[in-house]
Amino acid sequence: MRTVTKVLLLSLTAALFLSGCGGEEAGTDTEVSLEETNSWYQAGVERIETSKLQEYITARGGAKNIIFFVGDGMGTSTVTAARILEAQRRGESGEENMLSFDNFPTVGLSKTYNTNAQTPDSAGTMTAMMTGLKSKAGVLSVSELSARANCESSQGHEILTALEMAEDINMATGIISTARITHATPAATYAHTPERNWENNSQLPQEAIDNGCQDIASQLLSFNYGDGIDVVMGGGRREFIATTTVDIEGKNGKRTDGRDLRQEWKTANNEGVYLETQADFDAVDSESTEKLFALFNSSHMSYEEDRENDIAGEPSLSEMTEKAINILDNKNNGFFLMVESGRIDHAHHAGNAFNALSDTIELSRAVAIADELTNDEDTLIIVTADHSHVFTIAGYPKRGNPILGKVQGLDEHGAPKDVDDLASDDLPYTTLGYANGRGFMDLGDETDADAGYGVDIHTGRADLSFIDTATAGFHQEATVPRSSETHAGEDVGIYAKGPGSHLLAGVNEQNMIFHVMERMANLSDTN
Amino acid sequence: MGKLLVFVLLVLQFTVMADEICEKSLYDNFKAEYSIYSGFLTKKINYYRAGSRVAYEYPSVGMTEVWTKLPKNRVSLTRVFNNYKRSIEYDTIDLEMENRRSSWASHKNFSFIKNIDYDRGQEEYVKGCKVWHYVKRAENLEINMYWDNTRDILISFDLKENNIYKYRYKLVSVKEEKLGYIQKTLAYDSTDYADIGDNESDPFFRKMISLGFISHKEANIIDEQGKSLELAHK
Repeated sequence: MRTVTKVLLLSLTAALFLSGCGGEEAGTDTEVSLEETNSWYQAGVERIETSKLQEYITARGGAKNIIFFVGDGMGTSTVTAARILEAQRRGESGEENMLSFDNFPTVGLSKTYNTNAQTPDSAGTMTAMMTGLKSKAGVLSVSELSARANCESSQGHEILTALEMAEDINMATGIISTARITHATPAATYAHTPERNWENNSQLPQEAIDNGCQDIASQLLSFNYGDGIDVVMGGGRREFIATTTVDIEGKNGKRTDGRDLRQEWKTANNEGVYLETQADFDAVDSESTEKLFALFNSSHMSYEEDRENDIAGEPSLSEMTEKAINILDNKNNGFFLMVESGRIDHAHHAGNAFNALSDTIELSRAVAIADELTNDEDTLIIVTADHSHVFTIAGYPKRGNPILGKVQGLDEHGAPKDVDDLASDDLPYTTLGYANGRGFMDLGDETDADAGYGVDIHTGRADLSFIDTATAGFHQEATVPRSSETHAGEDVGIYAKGPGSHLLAGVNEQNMIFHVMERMANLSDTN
Repeated sequence: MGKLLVFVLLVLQFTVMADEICEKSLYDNFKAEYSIYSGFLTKKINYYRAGSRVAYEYPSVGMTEVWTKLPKNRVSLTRVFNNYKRSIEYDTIDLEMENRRSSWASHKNFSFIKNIDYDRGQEEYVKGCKVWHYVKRAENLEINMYWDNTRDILISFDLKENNIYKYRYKLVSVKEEKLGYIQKTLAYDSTDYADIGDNESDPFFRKMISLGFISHKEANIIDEQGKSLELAHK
C-alpha cells in the first residue's frame, strides 16, 4: 500500500514539476504525511526547488573569473570516502555529509582516457583540460602528433593553453599546486614539452638539447604571454636552483646549468614578491602585491596532515587559494586561477587512504573559500579530477561505520553489529582498499604516506584483528603487487557552479572542460 | 679458560688492526671497508663519509644508501641502485618511521651497533690511539665492540650466541676518498619516492618490487638489545 502511494505521489510530483506548476496540490493527499515529515523526502524537494532557480547563462564571456580546481587522482570513491571522513571527524555518521563542491548545482562526468591510453596519466589529462584537445600520456600541452620524450617531434605541435589565452586578454592569472610547480598538472598550464619528467635542464636528453627544447622550470621563467603569470605557488624549488646551491631546508638543487631561476625571476619582477616559508607567506599583503612567486618545498609540499613537520613551514591549500584570489582580484579584468591538490594522487599511489582523504577534505575547504570570496554571477568554479585510482569502498558496513575502520555490518534484521565482520578466511577486513599497490602496512602515527615506500611490499591478506586501521600510518590491503598503486580508468566527477556551469552536465570528453572555460571567459577574444 | 683465550686472541687481533688504522691521518673524505660475517656468509660493506653525508655501499646487491644531514637535526635518504645508475630520493620526514625519532647521529655510522645497550665500556689505548671497548653479556649472548672515538667509526663488532659467532664486523681498511663516490652516485638520474607511481612505464620502476629495500635486509640485523632481528622475527 505504501509503495503504491509513494509511486503515485512521486508521479504526481514529477508531473507537476514538469508542467511548471507548484506542488501545493500534492499536499491534499492524506497519505503524504509520512513523506512530508521525512527528512530525506523534504531534502529532495528542496534540492529540486533550488535547482529550478538556476539561470542558465551561456553567452560567450558570461564569466569574468574562472577558478579551476583539480584534485589529482580524486575519483568518485575518494570524494565519497572523504565526505564521510570529514563528518565523522566531527562526530557525525558521515554518509549524509556534503563536501563544499558536492553542493554545486552542476555535476557531470569526465571521460579521462588519453589518446594512447585507456587509463590515463596526469600529463595527458591536464593537457586535455587546458588546451581543449586530448593527447598522449606523458606529454604536456603538445598534440598527440608528438612522440613522448622526443623533442623534435613535438615542435610545431604546441597547443595554446587556457592560462596563456587568459594572459593574452589581460586577465590576471595564477597557478597553485601542493605538488612541485613543475609537476605534470601545474606544468600543463604554462609549459609545452613531450616529456613531463623534463622538469630541470639535467633531465633533458641530448636530442632535446640539440633541438632546442627547454626544461619545464625554465619555461615557467620565460613565459611571455600578457604580463606574465601573476601568482605562482607550490613546491619544486630544487628544479629552479643549481646542484651546488643548498636551499633553506638543506637540500641541493637539480640544475646543472648553474642557473638560479629564483634570482632571475626577482630580477625580472622588481615589484614582485618571492617567498619560501610560512612566515614569508603570512607577511604578504595581498592588497598591495602584484606578483607573487612562492616555492615552499624542495620537492612536493607536505600532505596536509603532515604539514606541521615541514622544516621551514608552508601554508595549506586553502590558505594559498585565499591569498591568490585576494591578489588576483585586485585587477579589474577578471582572473583565471588553477588550483591543484596534487598529493591526493601521491597518497593513493602509496596505498594510504588517510592522507588521500585528508587532502581531499582540504581541497574542499579551498573550494569553499573560493566560493565565499567570489560571486556566482560572474565567477565560474569548476572542480574535477584528472583521473581516478583503484580505490574501493567495499563490504557492507553499517551506517556510520568508521570509513577508515574495519567492516562491521548488519545482522539479519538490519540492526547494526558491534563486532568485525569476517571474510571467508576468518579475518576482518577494511571498508577501504586498493586493487593493486604496495599493500598492507601499519606505520602507526606516521603522517607521511610516502614512508610506505621504505617498507617492503605486502599484498594479500593480513590479520587486522588488533590493528587500528584508522591511524594515519595504516596502508590498506591491496590485491595485485606493484611498486606503486595505479590510476584507474573510470570517469571522474565534474562539479561546477557559476556562468556556463550547466554546460558540463552529463558525460563529457575531458577536453570539454577547456571549451566551457574558453567560451565563458571568452578566452579567444582578440579584440 | 677457553673464553679467556678467545678474548685474548681477539684483543691481539684488534691491536694489530687498530695500530694500522690509528697511524693514518684523519681524512675529511674517507672510505672505510668492512668485512661482515653473518651466519654463514661473509660480505663487504663500504662506508663513506664526506662532510654532511655518509654512504653505505652494499656491493653484493649493487646498492648504496646515502644519508644527508639537514637542518633541525633531520636527515634525508637517497637509495642508489648502482648497477642501474639510478636512485630514489626520500624526504626528510619519511625517516622518522625507521627509528621513530630520526637524527643524524642515528644514521652517521652503524648506529644500530653503537646504540646497543652495552653492559660496560672502557677506554683503551693502543699505541697512542684511543678506542673504546664495549661489552655486553646476557644468557647465551656475548658482544664485544671497539669504537674509535677520534674518527667516530666502528673498529670491530663481534656477536656470539651460544659461543658461536653470529655476526662479525671488521674494519679492513680506511682510505682517503678522492674519487667523490658519494657525489658521483648522487649525480645519477634520481626520482622522488612520491613520483614512482607516475613513472611506472619506466622499466626500472617495474623492477622495483623484486629489488626491494635494503636497510631491512642487510644493515639492521640486530636491535638495541643486541638481539638478532632475524631471530626476533621467528
